[in-house]
Amino acid sequence: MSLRSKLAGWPQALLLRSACYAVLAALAVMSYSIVVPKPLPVIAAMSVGHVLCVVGFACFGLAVLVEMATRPGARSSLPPTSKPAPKSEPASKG
Amino acid sequence: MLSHVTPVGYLCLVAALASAAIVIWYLVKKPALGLTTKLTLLFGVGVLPAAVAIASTTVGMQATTERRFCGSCHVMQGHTWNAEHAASDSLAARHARNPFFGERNCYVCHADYGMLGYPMTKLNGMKHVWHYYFGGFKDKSLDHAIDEIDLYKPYDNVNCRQCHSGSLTHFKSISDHQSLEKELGKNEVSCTSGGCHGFAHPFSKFGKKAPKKSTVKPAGSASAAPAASSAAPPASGGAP
Ligand code: HEC
Ligand code: HEC
Ligand code: HEC
Repeated sequence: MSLRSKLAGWPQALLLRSACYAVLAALAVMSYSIVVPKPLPVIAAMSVGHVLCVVGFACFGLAVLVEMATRPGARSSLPPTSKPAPKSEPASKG
Repeated sequence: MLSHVTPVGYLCLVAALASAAIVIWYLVKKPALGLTTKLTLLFGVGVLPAAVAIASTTVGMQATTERRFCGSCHVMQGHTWNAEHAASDSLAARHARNPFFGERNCYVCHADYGMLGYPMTKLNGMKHVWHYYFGGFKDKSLDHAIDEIDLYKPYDNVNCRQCHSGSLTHFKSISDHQSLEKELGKNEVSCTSGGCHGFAHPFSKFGKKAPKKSTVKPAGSASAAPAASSAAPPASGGAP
């Protein structure tokens, strides 16, 4: 099974929504630490906040890949063979 | 309420709002994932949040150097209250009145200035946070905490010397500075020992080291009362 067809099966809309919610949560945590600069908010911003940022962006990146894989006539935009794909599956759970 | 937010902090909040606006727009409108949408989302979930993450980190790190921050844990409020109090003349308080670092006086005296100083300072701070929430300090009264909390390591004179180099004529003209030069350099004598500049936080020393003649027994009950000098912290739990 090629990487392309594997990706094509992924839930693009869900990925995008997850990206949005993760980023919104990250923004909330980070903004809160600026308004209330106390120990726990500041620590949360630099840990949970950053992780949510990365998760959100990863979901977005995956969603774009899925879109490229499913777009008709975009065959050459991704390597056609099943070269060992970056093992980033867990992110699909969102 | 937002008086403490710095310009960078405001920029950060604006970027966060812009990013949130894009994301919410997407969630509400659900546009097809064309090039424009992709690029807009790239900003909304990529570029802007990254900027917010970086800026909020610098703002947060800066915030951790403020006395207000140290005082956000009640066990530190004896020290912060003492330093802020107009009538207080502890060494820490006298270093709180300089407009250039007064608001950060706790940090400038207590940061680690060694080679790995910055990360070590932050690690040490994380230790305090841990002990506060999981080491029982959160539920201790201020009085108890003041009795219990002590420096992990003896105070390093280098911390004074980053500002008071000790190389100027006036400093050198003091006979004690002259005679103790070696000991001060090797931290065998502390600048803040009893006979020298005194403890930086004398109020916290009652029942511990301050009454050098050891007339006061450190035993329980009696130790709390004499601490009530003019510059002593408010009674337990009394957050100013
Ligand atoms: C002039 C430098 C200086 C400043 C400013 C300063 N400290 Fe200290 N601190 C010391 C020294 C020196 C000691 C070692 C004990 C002593 O001399 O009182 C100490 C000890 C302590 C201790 C250990 C317990 C004790 O009292 O011995 C705590 C906690 C502490 N400081 C917190 C703070 C906080 C919070 C602030 C900000 C309000 C602050 N310090 C400001 C120099 C300073
Ligand atoms: C999360 C709450 C909290 C905050 C915020 C906090 N402290 Fe503390 N601090 C503690 C606790 C709890 C201890 C006692 C730790 C122990 O005895 O193990 C302590 C101990 C100390 C000590 C003595 C131990 C040592 O490190 O040598 C110093 C000095 C000190 N704090 C300075 C500061 C300064 C300066 C700030 C602000 C930059 C600050 N603290 C902010 C909770 C806090
Ligand atoms: C961040 C730089 C800084 C550090 C660190 C610092 N000092 Fe100072 N110190 C100053 C400045 C600046 C003044 C003059 C304050 C003023 O005029 O408001 C001062 C004043 C003093 C004075 C004179 C106070 C008076 O009432 O005339 C003494 C004594 C002193 N410092 C000792 C110390 C000792 C001991 C330490 C280390 C525990 C220390 N300082 C750490 C900057 C510093």
